[in-house]
Amino acid sequence: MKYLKKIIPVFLTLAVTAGMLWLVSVLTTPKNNMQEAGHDTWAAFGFEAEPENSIDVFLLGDSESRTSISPMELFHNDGFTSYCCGVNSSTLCEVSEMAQLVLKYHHPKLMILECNVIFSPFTWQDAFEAVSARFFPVVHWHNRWKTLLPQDFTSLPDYDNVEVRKGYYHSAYINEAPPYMLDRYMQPSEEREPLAGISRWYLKKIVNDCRKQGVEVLLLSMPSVKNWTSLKHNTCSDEAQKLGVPYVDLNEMTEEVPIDWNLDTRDEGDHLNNDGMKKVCRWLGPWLKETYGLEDHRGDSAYDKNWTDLYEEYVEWIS
Amino acid sequence: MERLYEILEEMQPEYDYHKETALIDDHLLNSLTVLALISELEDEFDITIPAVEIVPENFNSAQAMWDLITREMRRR
Amino acid sequence: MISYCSIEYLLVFLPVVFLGYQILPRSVRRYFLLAASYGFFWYLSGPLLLWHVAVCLCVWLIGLRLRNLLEERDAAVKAAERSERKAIKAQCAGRMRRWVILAGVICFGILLSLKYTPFFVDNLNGLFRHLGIHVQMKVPSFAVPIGISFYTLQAMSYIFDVQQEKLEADRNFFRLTMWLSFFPLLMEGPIARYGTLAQKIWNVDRIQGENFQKGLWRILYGVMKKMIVADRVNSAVELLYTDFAKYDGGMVFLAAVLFTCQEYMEFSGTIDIVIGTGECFGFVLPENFNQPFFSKTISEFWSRWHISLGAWLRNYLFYPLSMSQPLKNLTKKCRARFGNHYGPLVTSSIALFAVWLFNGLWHGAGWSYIFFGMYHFALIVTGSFLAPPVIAFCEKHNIDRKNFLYRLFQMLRTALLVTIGEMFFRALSLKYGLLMFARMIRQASLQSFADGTWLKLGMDLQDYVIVALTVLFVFVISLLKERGCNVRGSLYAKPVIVRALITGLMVTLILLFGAYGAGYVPVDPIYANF
Repeated sequence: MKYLKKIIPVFLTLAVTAGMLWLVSVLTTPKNNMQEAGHDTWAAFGFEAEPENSIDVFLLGDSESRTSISPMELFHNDGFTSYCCGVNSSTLCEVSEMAQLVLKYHHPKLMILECNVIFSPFTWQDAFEAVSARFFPVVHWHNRWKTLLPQDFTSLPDYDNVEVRKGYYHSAYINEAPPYMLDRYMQPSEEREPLAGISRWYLKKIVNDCRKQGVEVLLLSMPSVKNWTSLKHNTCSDEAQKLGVPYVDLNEMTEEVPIDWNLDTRDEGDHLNNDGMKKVCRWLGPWLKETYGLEDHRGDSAYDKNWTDLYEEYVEWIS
Repeated sequence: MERLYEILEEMQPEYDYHKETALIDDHLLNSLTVLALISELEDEFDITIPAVEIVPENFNSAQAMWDLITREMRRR
Repeated sequence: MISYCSIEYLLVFLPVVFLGYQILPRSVRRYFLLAASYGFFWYLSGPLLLWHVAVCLCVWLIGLRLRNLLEERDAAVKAAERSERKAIKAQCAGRMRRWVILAGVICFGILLSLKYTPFFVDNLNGLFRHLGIHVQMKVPSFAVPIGISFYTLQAMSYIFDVQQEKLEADRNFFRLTMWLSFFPLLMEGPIARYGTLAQKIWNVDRIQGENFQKGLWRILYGVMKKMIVADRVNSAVELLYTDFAKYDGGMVFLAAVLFTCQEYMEFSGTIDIVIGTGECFGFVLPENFNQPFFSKTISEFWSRWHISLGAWLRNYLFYPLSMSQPLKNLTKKCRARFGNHYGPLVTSSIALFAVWLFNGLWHGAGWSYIFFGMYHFALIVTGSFLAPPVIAFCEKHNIDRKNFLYRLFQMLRTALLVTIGEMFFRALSLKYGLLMFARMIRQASLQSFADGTWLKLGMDLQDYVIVALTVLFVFVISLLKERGCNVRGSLYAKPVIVRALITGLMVTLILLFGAYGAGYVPVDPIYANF
């Protein structure tokens, strides 16, 4: 009885605190995956609006991932569905959270992890914040108290906004890469880019989480003059071998994916533009389809509403 | 003791020294007054007050000061 | 830099320590607490920990030596004739003084050489350049252990107290070390005295529910001050103090106000976390703030702001100095000549000068800190100098000095003077401080408030509003405390569910309105570098 008297206030406090945090979490979470609703990465969350298990391939990573591959392009050419959940300047701990969320809604055949994100530095405090945001989203959305909308008080979060571009970040700009960068780009080297212990741990965790669900993993490096080096290539290749997952570096495949750094980049060799993306998809689509035996959904009426019917609108976006 | 009250009244006449018990803690006496007071007490009672004794507890009330004085007089 | 307001302290270190403390048997508990403190030190400063151990050893051994001398003296006095007693006492005092000086040389020596060598070498180089001597020394830079300025003062207070027979030197090295290294006190004080605390920590009594709940509230209150106010204004403060030349006088004044606000919230918030931590264990750590912005004069301000430093300086510097024989004689002479007010003012000015030079230098090795000390020295002396004419003036014109409006005027004036002082304190250097001050006066203008410049400093209107509301909340709490109300005591008397709601609300407000995560750079602990 005495013991109970001591323990009750503790649990009551924890329960009340959790309850209040949950309340403000619901309040501050954007009510839809739209910019107008106050969502900062609405495009990446569009997969929640797709019918369950309707996506074959997911793409995770930072901005490199969402500027190099366009799911709509792949669907139109090769017939399998994909979604790009990349978030600008993301880190592995956020990618891991995203992977878990994806696996909650979908059961894809393949999870592609874009490799530049592996090298983004983060601390265990960042990781702690990312995990707490899973339980109490207010940790992520707390700044929204400044911009709350009427609907935030009246409705619950429901992400049903179907994204036409499926997470792809389009751009038709052409800003050529400067020559000094091209000179440096992919200079052969035997050295390794150092990888933090916590990043290695998270990489392993993401791969294992996917495997547990029977989802295959592919490490993929996107073409980028500014971000990619032989050192990073070597490290990724080592890690892939250790984890037993395949690794593909598009930077090395200048014949299959002939990127013209005077024309195919939007921001001086940092990211590709629409033309660059098309070159990547032209090779990647058939290769993925064949390697992983992906189904062709073109002509399947179940995919009309979210894919076939939206293609024209998509073309308008990227032209 | 009466002599002490007289000295205090003379230094700073605003307060009722028979009643106040937090002269230092309530910032009624500042360090300047304390220095003047010590100098006066040393002359008047022919004692030396060491720096160690200058703590709020010894100066918060007339009674505390009187205790200090008698202590130092005995030590002489 | 890590602070007490961090995930690792609040959510990892503290819970582990609380849990370990509570489940371990009492005999192990105190060593666990000591190990936790040294672990914390190691986490912050690594092998620099050895400097701390050195100071502990030095203070412990010299303390014991002093104790021996005192015991020998007492035995000798007992045995000796009445006439010889004075001589024996004097002889002992002389010997003790030598040991105290040795302790001072070691403790302050470490502090001076680690923290002030670069400053002195730099200034010496400057002097040589000025004199045309072609000798330039390399400016060394040392890693400084965390909180060195705090524990050095604490260690010396112990030696002084032993010398003055206020306490008996501790034979137990671990008890002494525990008090000198207790982890909440390490980074920003308060400077706690041995007599009030050491035994209490050493007792390691079990954690009590009431203490824990109240301590937790105090910690949350501190986190609130730090995260909602100090961190939220940080970007504006950084920007204004770096680029003040781009803004008009009004913005420079805003910079001074925001920084004063930030510093108070950061420092007192950290102290709330520190004292709250102590309270959870049931240890009463000394208060460091007593609603400083209710002060009517600058000297009152310093008895309400950073109290433990002020007390240290008063006890171990001001009074010993002003009560030394030469200054005492001077007081006597001056009193005869200038009266009871102005007489001691002469002496105490001399002692105060030393105090404020020390105070300025203690805050950091830099001319801006020395200027900061001298600024307050000048204000306090001027204040004392003007006090009698002001009183006379008020009496003549029938102004009631106890009137609310008059007191309000005094408080606002004091706050303004403090704010200006803090501007020099925060400025990147003394030169910049003076430039800022000049800009504030010469280009005084409200233009930047009219055209919205003040909203383009990394803080938008909502930020200002939430900062103002939190400051208002702190003001209300301070007002209640000032009126003698025991806020947490009366909250604890409420039913369990109300208490739980209060805790939950505080956590929620912090997580909702705190300036953390993407887009925010929390302010480094301002006092931890001192």
